[in-house]
Amino acid sequence: MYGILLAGAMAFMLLDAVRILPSEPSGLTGVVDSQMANSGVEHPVTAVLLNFRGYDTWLELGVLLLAVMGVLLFQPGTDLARVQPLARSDAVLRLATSLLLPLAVLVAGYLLWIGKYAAGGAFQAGVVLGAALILLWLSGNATLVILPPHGFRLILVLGFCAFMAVAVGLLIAGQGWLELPPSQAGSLILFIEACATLSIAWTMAALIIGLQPPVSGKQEGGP
Amino acid sequence: MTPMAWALDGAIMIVMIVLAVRLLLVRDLYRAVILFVVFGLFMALAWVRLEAPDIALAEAAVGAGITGVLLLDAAKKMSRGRGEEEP
Repeated sequence: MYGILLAGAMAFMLLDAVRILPSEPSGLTGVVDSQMANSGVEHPVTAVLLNFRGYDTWLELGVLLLAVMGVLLFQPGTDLARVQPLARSDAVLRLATSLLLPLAVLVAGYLLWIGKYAAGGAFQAGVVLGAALILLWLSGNATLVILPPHGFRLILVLGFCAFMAVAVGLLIAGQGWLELPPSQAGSLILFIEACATLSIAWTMAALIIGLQPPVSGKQEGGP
Repeated sequence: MTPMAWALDGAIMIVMIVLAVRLLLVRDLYRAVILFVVFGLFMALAWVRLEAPDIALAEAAVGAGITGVLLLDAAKKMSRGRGEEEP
């Protein structure tokens, strides 16, 4: 009963909010449009995410890193080396994986590249690549797990560190904090996005794989 | 807007509301997760109709894909734990 009342009140407030929306788009659209020439990219969303508002995106990568660290802390050895590989799955899944995997890598690369001109970018590309890695894991392929622990951790922190390297490098070069110079902004953004794509992909895969029980796990299911 | 666009937007809206209600009322966790994934896909369609392709891509990949896998994993673990408690 209370639930229905609450839902009704909520729906009323939402409808009322639509009524009082300003008819003219306000906010920073005009400012972004006027600065697009200095952003190094041609898509306003990418320009805002990676250039005008780069600090936020950097910290978002930090949040992802913290999340995956939290998951991996429940693993002995804080890497995936001791996770039990799944049994080899049926032939259909293996065939589908072998067909989809190259396509997924291609799509991820395309999304990363197209982010400069249209919808796309590091997060979308990273998630597609991460889904490919999870598919690889689900089909019983242990390639991810036998990756050397240092290499694995390096990929996890790559995106965050690339952003930080660019920020510190620009400070040393005499620019402001994360103030990308217009002449090099395009290549710097592509560099940051490429590193972030790898980090996001491995973070997504590690979030799933890291939750599996370890090989010598006597306390199955974890804490 | 053309009548076709109105029909499409209306269909997406109705399906999303029905899915949301079903999703909240269903008792079986596995079914709830599947409904959540379907809801995420329709949400992505809605973002496309709102001319926000960036958010649509992220919603389809994260909301429907990765979250779905994580929730399925959690649901499996929860049902296994319950099974052990009630022999």
